[in-house]
Amino acid sequence: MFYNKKYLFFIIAYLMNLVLCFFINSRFAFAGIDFNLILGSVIIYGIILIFCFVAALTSLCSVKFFRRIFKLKTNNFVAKFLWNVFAGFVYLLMLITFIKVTEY
Amino acid sequence: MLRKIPDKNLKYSFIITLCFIAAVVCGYFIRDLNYSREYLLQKASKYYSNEEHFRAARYFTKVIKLNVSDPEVYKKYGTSLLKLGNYALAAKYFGLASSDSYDDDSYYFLGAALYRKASGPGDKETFLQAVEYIEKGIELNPDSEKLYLLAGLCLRAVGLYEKARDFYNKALTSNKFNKAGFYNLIGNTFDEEGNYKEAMLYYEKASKHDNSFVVAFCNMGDMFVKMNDYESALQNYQKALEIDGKFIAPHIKIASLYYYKNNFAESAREALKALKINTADNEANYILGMSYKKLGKYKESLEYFKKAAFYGNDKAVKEIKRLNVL
Repeated sequence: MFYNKKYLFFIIAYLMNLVLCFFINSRFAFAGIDFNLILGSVIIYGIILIFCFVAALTSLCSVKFFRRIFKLKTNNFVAKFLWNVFAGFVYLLMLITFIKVTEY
Repeated sequence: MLRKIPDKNLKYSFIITLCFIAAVVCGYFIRDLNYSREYLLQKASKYYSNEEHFRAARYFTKVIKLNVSDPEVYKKYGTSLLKLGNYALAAKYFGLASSDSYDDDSYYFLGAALYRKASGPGDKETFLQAVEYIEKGIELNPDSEKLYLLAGLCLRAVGLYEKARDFYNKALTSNKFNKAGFYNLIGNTFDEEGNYKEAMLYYEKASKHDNSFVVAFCNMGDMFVKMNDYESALQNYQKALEIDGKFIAPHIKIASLYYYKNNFAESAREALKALKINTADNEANYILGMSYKKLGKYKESLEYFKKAAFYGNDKAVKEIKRLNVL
């Protein structure tokens, strides 16, 4: 996913995150809790990225472990795998948060 | 447009992302269409009756978005908002509920929302608006004690003590309320005006009406302190303690009285008694810290200042800074 142009992924993910924060903001607005949309989105974006990176690293370690057990080739595998899993997790986490935030 | 992108990876990435966004948007709208008003109202009412006001308000928001303009929904939504501390929005929704459907409780909640909304900026007009609604509530139910109490609070907040006393006196004509409490409140209005002698008369009335009304004795003690009669003040605080030994306020007041009379050992002893009742009382911790400081016990005083600061005493924070400099 956007492997050759990673900055595009980050821009698109941030824009989606901004929409997500708009929904989160409107969810809490009635309780008088009103957070700065830009600052809030940056914080949430940071949390999502860190969480997904850790999750991707964990998946990479476990896949590497199984590859070693089954003696499979690992050439040119690590970087692409890590990126794709990371990008997938970011989309997935945003989707789950969006569903949770908008569900009644 | 996508065909023009030469990079295959980039092309597929765009396609996946667009599909993802489209799926999310469609899912959102389809889900939104499926919510029925009845289901949302049922959920909101369930959370409302369980006093889970955050969840209740969430569902009421959605219900109102679906164009439900039932005054009962507005009133419940307003109540939830009030409990959540969003007073401005609460006042708005109480205002939207048609006044035909108002009972005394509705007027009370509307008054309370306006009172809390006005409390921050000290908005006189809003306070008076709150009183208007409370008066309507009293007309509907003259036996609602909380309405008189709230009216008094609003009027005292804007310095209209005479009017506040009118409400309290009106409440005294009813036999359903604790008269000692209202005499005490009238005393408070005189105290706020600086008329200590008149205040004292009402505190005495309160104590005569109810011998076990500890607050009146404490207030009488306070009046004596303000009139520089420390002996009588001490006697009243001790009377309060005789009535209720577990009431912390007289201990703290006695401790501060001893402190100002430079009797620091006695002050520390009383503050320790107060802390036996409630270790988390910031004032008691602060007075104990100050007494130990005056007695030259800096280590102990720092310990109690830290506790007082932890429980929210700003003066203790200043004392900690001073002691650290020493």
